[in-house]
Amino acid sequence: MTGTDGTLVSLAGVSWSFDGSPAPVLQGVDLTVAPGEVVVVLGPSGCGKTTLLRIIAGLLRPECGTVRVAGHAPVPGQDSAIVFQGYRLLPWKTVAQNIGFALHALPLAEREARVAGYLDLVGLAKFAGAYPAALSGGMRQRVALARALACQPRLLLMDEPFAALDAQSRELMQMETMRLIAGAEGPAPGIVFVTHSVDEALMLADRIVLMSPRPGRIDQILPVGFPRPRWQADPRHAPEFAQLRQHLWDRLRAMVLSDPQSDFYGRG
Amino acid sequence: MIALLRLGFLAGLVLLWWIASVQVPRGLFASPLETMEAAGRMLAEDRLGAALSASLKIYATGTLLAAAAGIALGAAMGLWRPFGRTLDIFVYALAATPRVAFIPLIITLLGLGFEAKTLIIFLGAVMPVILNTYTGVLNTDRDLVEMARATGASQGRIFWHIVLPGTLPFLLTGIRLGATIGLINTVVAELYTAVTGLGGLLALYGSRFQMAEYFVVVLTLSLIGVTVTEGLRLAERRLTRWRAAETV
Ligand SMILES: Nc1ncnc2c1ncn2[C@@H]1O[C@H](COP(=O)(O)OP(=O)(O)O)[C@@H](O)[C@H]1O
Ligand SMILES: [Mg+2]
Repeated sequence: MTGTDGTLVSLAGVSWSFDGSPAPVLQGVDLTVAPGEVVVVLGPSGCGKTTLLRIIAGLLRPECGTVRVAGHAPVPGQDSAIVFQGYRLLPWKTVAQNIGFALHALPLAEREARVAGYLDLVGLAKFAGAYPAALSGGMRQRVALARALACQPRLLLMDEPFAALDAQSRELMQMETMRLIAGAEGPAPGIVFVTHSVDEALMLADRIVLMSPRPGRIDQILPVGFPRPRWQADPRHAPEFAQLRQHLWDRLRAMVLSDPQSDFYGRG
Repeated sequence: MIALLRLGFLAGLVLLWWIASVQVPRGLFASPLETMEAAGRMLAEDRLGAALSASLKIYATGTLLAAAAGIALGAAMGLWRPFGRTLDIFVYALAATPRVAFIPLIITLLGLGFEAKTLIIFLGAVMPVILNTYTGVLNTDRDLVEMARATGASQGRIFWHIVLPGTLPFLLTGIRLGATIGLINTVVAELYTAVTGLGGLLALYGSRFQMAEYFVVVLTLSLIGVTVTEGLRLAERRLTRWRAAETV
């Protein structure tokens, strides 16, 4: 049920701008994601990463260009699930109700079993009846992840999911999240993961899509050849890794220094 | 501990009342004891009970209608923006007009009976319900709506699971404010239209300088007010328990 050429996501010539705004947010974006592949979209803030995710999710319709997810125009909630920046849990629903929110089409018994399974997966079975206000940031993050995974999507969209965590929790959650996704039942989903962190991109990606701002465009697409998961055999000290890291930083720095709207414009 | 302090404060108030009643010439003021005795008499002769039930009937009718209409109108204004934007300045204008100004008009149109009284109460109570519901709906968290849309949720599902629960704290506050104004307007209505109920007793005992009886009526009104607002506050706490969830 992927596209005719076996891709999960394909974007061709996608552009988008806000109503009445002359400057497009995205311009001429071409991108493909294979089933089970982890594509990390890396770029400075404001370059249109969140907008790109909304388009892939079917929440926004592009003005021009085509978007295909699993072979058809994307419909929200059909093939994809999103883990949002800032969790977006419903404060008036318990952890279990939050996870079950997207599963209302399932019969009750099946829904409950599904929720219980994903609560177990993320290690929050004890907190099924707790409200989000009672949870720590890391726990809320896991509820948001469980909610998305419980839909058993073929495509998982993640928008800077760890941006709110401190550096140490962040690295632990990256590891934990990839383990959980791999541990969930069914084939591994394709993932489009948005971040502005070079190191996060390097730890997670099969391919890194580097975006440049104003208008949002794809600058480069770089394969990351180190085997995943990358925590057992930490590749961070390999010379190729350092080279790639340096290259990404150089590109990002150049973008920011030449962007008139950035705080660092012209400071090179 | 707080309950004990409050009880102490109440005792202090009663003491002050008693001191005041001793200082003021007799006939202008009633002591706590005289008031108690008056309450006993009025209950025994069923004067208080009859007035109370007459007042409660119009108060409950007016306030409940105001809650229902206010929620419906406020929600419609918040959900359907052109409607809300057209109407909101008129609602603000009406809310800023002292609604007692309408009483002569209401009497001309509806007479002095139950309908007129209920309308006076309704007009007072409905404004905070409309305005708070409207504000609550406008304050809906757009990020949560987008989250729901991303799961393929329908408009109806978004309303029931996101908009309504998010509006609930605003809406309940509106009802509490409306209930307070409704009680004030109950007395106003009973004084300005056919003189009945607790408002009627106030006028009667006030004009005859029967201060002990008069105090009984005032205390009864304050008791109704306290019971209703505390009951609503309790409902508010129960319905928005998720806010107070303690951190583990
Ligand atoms: N409501 C809006 N109206 C106009 N421009 C907007 C609006 N929201 C975001 N933008 C602009 O769109 C661009 C892309 O935003 P976004 O996709 O959120 O970027 P990112 O996720 O990469 O930080 C930004 O430059 C931002 O200024
Ligand atoms: Mg963003």
